[in-house]
Amino acid sequence: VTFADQSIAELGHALRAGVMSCEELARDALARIDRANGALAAFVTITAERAIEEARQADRDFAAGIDKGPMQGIPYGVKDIFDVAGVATTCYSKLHLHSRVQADSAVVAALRAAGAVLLGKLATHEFAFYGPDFDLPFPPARNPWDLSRLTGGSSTGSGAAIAAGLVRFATGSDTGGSIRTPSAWCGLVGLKPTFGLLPRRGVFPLSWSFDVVGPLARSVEDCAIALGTMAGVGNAPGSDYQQRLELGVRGFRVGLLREFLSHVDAEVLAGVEEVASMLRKDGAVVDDVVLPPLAEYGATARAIIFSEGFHLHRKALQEHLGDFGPVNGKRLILGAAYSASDYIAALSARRLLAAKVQEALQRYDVLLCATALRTAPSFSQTSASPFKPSAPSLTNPFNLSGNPAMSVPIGLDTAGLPRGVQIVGRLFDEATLLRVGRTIEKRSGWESVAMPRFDNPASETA
Amino acid sequence: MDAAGLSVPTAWRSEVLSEYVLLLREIAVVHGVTRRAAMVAHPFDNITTNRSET
Repeated sequence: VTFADQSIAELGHALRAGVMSCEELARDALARIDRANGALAAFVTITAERAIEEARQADRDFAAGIDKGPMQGIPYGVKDIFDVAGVATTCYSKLHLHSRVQADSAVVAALRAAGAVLLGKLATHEFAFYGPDFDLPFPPARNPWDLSRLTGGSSTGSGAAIAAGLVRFATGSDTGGSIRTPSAWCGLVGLKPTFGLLPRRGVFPLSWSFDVVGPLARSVEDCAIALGTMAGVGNAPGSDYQQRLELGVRGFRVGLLREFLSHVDAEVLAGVEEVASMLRKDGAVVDDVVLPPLAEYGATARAIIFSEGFHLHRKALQEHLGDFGPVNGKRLILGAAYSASDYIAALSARRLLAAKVQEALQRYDVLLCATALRTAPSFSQTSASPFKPSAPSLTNPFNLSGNPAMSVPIGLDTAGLPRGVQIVGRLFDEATLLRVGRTIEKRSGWESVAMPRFDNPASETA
Repeated sequence: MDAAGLSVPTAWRSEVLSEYVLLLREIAVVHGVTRRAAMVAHPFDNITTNRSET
């Protein structure tokens, strides 16, 4: 029996109806990880003992009439920059292989309090920065839609594990797009919450003024439940994030960021246009909206992220540069090139550029553009330099502005790879973002797309 | 890089240098934005400090 295609809500109904126990569900998930992880490299550490202990506790709670809400008994994974008590937080780096962790990160503690079942820790780019890199202690995660392709990063294992049906949701972090890019390339829903919504205690940082944590999930509803639990408001059934999911977009104003799409691949661009058209059909008003050039957002975001990242790793870079993976090490040292004056200029520029996003969102309920320039590239394609003007990031403007932004899958391209669109909401208005995302998910036909399966050994070679 | 106390491996230098050139162009873009940002009031600009109270 496999439970891979059941939503968090459906699994919750089955657990409450006694169709299966939380322990059976956890053991089923662990068995699927055991079969698939060799091909995917999604999990770096499997916390089987803790999973069974948490699942048994969830079963005991159900038996005693204790219902902690929609996450009770639901298995999940965490990106390996989140602390889990008693397990090393490796950050996929030689430098942190033997880190000693005493306590759970705040988000993991919230999920544990809600009765969720932790299966293990998931792959990432080294220190949640650049990748993939084969010169690390662990291999890069592979995309379940095509194992020769990247998952997108840096929440690589989160993307691979959910797309392969090993978990329904996982945690990720997003400094410049690390939740949304793997979501787009793996066919998932990924939400970067408003800066400051979720606690970062116990999560290894990259850039203190850009980092956020958030969920990646198989569906918008799963994502809403995960966000609510991570934010500590999901314990009551029907939390804010789920209540308005099905209410549609009639009367909404959507700002299409057409000028951000000039470097986007034709099939991804067509997907954005299709979404604009389906939102209009559902009663939304969609207008073009103009923000300052993408190059200004990218340059400013990189000046801050690279400066803060270099500051964080400065001592290790000076003393142990050879222990960093080359992909990441080469980028981290570039942070030394920014002067204090450059960093202060970037902070100033950030205020102006962020204000433009907020101004646009006074006129529009959400903004719409693509998540990534194209669908998942193969490992053999050299990744473009982040400084190259022809390969701008479509995600980092909203790290810079702090707004919530979500990637929603809309269908496959002609190569059979997932395409995603990005929607951006007002500060702390994740509920509207999820509502628009749910409309896109329904209307795009994504729910009828068959996900890749790794349930049995035969399917792994298919 | 040397001033920052980094000893960059020879094998990395060419790639790091080419990205450094692109980075310098980006810094110019940031300072260009800043010239516009200078005309935007900072929230603290409206706070007057009464030094006699401190």
